[in-house]
Amino acid sequence: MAAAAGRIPDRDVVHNRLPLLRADRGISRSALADALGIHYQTIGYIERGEYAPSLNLALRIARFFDLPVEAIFAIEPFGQLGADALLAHRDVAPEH
Amino acid sequence: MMATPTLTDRIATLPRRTRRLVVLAAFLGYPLLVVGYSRLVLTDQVPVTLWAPIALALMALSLGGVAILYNWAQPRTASSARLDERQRAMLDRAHVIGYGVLGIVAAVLSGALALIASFQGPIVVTMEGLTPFLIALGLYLPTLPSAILAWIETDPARDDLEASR
Repeated sequence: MAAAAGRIPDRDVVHNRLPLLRADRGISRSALADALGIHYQTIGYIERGEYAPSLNLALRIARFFDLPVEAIFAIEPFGQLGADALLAHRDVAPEH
Repeated sequence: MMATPTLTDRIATLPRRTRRLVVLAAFLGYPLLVVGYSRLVLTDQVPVTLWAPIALALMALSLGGVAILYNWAQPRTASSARLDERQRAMLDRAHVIGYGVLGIVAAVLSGALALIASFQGPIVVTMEGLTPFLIALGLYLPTLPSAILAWIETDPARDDLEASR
């Protein structure tokens, strides 16, 4: 169940890659909020981990970015992006 | 050219610190007025002429506070408001806290009345004594969820504000 905005216990935090995805696709917070039909502040709350979205909203966000939901949300913190991911769009093999 | 914000705009964007001061003013003004009147004026410690402006100020604090809270909360609590799931969660939380507060107040009042009845005998309820409670109920009961919401709603983060422009 989504906890109320403001303070949620650590065990209820849902980690996400929304800021990264928004930056990558060049989508503003308000544009994303408009596309999803939610308040712009709610995107900020989700990005900061202050609000855990419902399954419905998480799935809608995943559909918007055309990604599986687990690529955007996780209950464990996401690791840093490795060279493989960063260079995936290039024809350059990562140096090891 | 930027338009001058209207009073409604200013109320809608009140920071949490100010909102909390408004809640305190609204919920302390009338009780202080009643207590002051019964403790100071009815016991002839303070003349009515001196008390009148204080009473007016306290009443203005309460009524003004309630009006501000109502206007701030209206877009967030009206049945026609289009709220997203986070906003609905906040409103639900405000109602839950509001009922909790009401429960505590009712329990404390009942306990106090029971104690008084036990040690001092039957309590005679007159209309004069009951009226302040009825006014307080009428003033604060409908305002309680709005006041709780105003108290708990956090301020938008700076990047949220930038995103809204």
